[in-house]
Amino acid sequence: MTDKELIDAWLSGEADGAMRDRLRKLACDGTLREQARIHHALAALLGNGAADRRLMESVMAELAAQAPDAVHRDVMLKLRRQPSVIRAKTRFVPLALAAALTIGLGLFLFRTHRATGPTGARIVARVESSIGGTGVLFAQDGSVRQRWALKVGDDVREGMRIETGEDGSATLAWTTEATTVDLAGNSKLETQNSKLAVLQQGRLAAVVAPQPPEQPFAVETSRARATVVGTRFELEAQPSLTELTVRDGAVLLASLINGDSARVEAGQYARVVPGAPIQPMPIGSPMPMNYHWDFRKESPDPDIFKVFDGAWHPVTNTAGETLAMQAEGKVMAHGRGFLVLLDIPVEHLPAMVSFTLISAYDRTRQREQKTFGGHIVYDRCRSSAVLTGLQDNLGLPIRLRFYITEDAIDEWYNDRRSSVRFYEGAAGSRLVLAIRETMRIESLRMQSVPPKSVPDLSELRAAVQSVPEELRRPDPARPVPLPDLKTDSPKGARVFFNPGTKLSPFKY
Amino acid sequence: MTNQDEIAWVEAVQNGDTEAFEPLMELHVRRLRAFVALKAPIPSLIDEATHETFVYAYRNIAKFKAGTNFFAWLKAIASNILRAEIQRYARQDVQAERYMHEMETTESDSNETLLVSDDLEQLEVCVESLPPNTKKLLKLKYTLGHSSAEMAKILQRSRAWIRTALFRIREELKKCVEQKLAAQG
Repeated sequence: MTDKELIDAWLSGEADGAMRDRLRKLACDGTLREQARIHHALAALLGNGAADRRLMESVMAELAAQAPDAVHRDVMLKLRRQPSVIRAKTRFVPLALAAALTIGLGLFLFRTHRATGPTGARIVARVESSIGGTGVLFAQDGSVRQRWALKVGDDVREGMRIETGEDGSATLAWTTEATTVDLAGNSKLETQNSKLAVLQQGRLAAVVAPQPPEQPFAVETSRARATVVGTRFELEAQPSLTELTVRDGAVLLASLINGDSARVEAGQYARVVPGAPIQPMPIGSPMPMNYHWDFRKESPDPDIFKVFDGAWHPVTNTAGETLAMQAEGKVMAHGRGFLVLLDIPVEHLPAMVSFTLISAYDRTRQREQKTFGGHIVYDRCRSSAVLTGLQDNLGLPIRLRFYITEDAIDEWYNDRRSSVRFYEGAAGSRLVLAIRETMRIESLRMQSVPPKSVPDLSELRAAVQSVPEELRRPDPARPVPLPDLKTDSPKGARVFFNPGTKLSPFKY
Repeated sequence: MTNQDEIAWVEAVQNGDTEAFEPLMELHVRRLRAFVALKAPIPSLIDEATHETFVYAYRNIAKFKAGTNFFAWLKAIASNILRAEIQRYARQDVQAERYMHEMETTESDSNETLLVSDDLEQLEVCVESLPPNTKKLLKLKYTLGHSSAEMAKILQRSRAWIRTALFRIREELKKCVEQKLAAQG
C-alpha cells in the first residue's frame, strides 16, 4: 500500500493498528494533518446531515437543562475549596486540539475505541443531582452518538460518559452498592462497569462502600489506578498527573505506566507523575520534586518531553534493544533547535537539572563538531544579562548541570561553569531544554535542591551590576568583557546585556 | 430561507423563544462544522467545539445585533473558543503540558493565522469548481458514505485507485485553497 492509500485508509477508518508506525512517520511532514483538514471539512460540507442533526439535538438538550440545585452547588463549592488539591482546569480538548494543530499526530493515531453504551447496557448508577451535567453515548467508531442534559433519576450505564461544565457538577449514586461519586466542574467520568470508572479529566470525590477484597472498586485515570477498599477520597486527573487525596480509610494507588504503587492513608495525598516515585505526603505539605528518567531504559514520556521541533529516535544495538534516546533537531543556525519544554514550578526552586549529551552527529560523520550543546532557558523571560565564556570545542560526552533559581540559571559543562543567565521574571515563562545538532540524551534528572547547595553567584552578580549603564547595550556583537573573577567562572568571561528585549535565542 | 427569516429567528431567540434557535442552527451547522474541521480536524473535537459555539451563541445572543452577519459571529465565537482553549491550557500547570508551548497564539503567528484564516469560503468555491467525475467521487465518499471497497465496485476500479484518487483530490483542493488565499493577499 502506498503512502497515499494508507492516509486515505486511515482517514476512512479502514487502517489497522499495524499501520500506525508508518502513519506516525507520515505525520511528521504535515501531509496527514493537511489531508485530515480537508477530509473532515468535506465530510461536514457534503455529509448527509445525520451528524448535523445529532449535534443540533445535543445543543437543544443542553439548552433545556434544568436550573441549578442550590444545595448541591454548595457541596461542590466546598469540595473545590479543599486546600490540598490542585483545582485543575486542565482539559482534554485543548490537548487534542494542540496535537491536531501542531503535529497532527498523537490523537489522530490513537483514537480510543470506547464502549458504546447502548441502551441495553447494564445500569451502573443513577443521577442524584446535576448542574449542567451532560450524558454522552458513543458510537462504535468513538464518535458521539447521543448527548443530552442529565436529569435527576437518569440511568448511568456501562460505557457512558458523564461530563460537567465549567461551573457544573453531578452526583452519581451506584445502584449495586452504597457508593456515591461527586463530580466537580470541568470533569469527564466514564463508567466502564459497576466496579471501574475512568476519570478522563477533572476531579471527583467519592464515598465508597466497604468492598469485597476479590472485587474492589477502582477509579482509573490515564496514568493511575486507585483501588478502594471502602473509604472517602478525592481523585484528580490531568493529562500527565494524577493526584489522590484520602480523607478516610486507605487507597492503593498504582501507576499504570511503570507499576509503581503505594498505599495512601487517611490524611495523605500522593501523585502519579512520570519519572517520580509515588510518595504519600501529609495533606497540605508540598511534594518534593525528584524526577529521574533514564533514557537508556525508557522512552521519553511524550506528555512530558514533547518535542516541538525535532524528534526523538531510539538508539538500538544489533539485538534491537534500546540503548538510549537520541534527540535530533534542526541546526540552530537556521533559527531552530531541538526544544523540549520542562516544568519546574516556582515552589520547587532552587532546582537542579542534569543530563549527559553525546554528539551522535560527530560519531556518524567522523569529524569534529565545533559547536553543539544543550541549554536551559526561560522561554519568555526578559534576560538582563548573559554571562558566558563558553568554549567552542566541548569534547564528548558532556555532562550538563543547571542550577535554577528565581532569577538566574547557572550552567555547568563537565563540572566547569560555562555561563550564567540573569533574568527579570516574566509571568508565564517556562523552562525550555534546547539542544543543538543531533544529540543523544542519557539519564535526565530534575530535582529540588537545598539553597545552600546552589553555587554562590554573588561575585558574578556584583560584577555584572558594576558595568556602567552606558555599556549595557543590547548588541550581541559587542559583549562587555569582565575582569578576572575569583569565583569559579568562565575564563575570559564577558557579558551580553539584553535590557528590554525578549530573550529568544531559539525561534519557534 | 431568506435573510429576513434569519433576522426573525434571531429576534425570536433574543425574546426568549428557545425553539427558534433550532432553525438558526440548521441554517449554519453544516458550514460551521466545516469551519471548525479546518481548524481542528479531529471528529470528536469538531462536534465539541461546534456544540460549545452554539451554546455560547445562544447564551450571548442578546449581544448580537440582528441584521448583521450571524455566521461571521459564529465563526468568531468558534475561533475564540479554540483560542481560549489553547491559551487556558498554556497558562495551566505546565507539568502536564510542555509542548503546548508552540500553541501559544500570542507567540505564534502561524497558529494565529490558522485560527483566523477564512479558508472555508475558498474551499467551497474550489469544491464547486471540480469536474463532474470528481464531484461524483466525493458524493460517493462523503454524502453516501461508501467504503473504498464499495466505491471500487460501483466505479469498476481497484481500491488502490479509489484511495489514491481521493488523496489527490484533497491535495488539489488544498492547493486550490492556498492559491485563492494567496491571491487575496
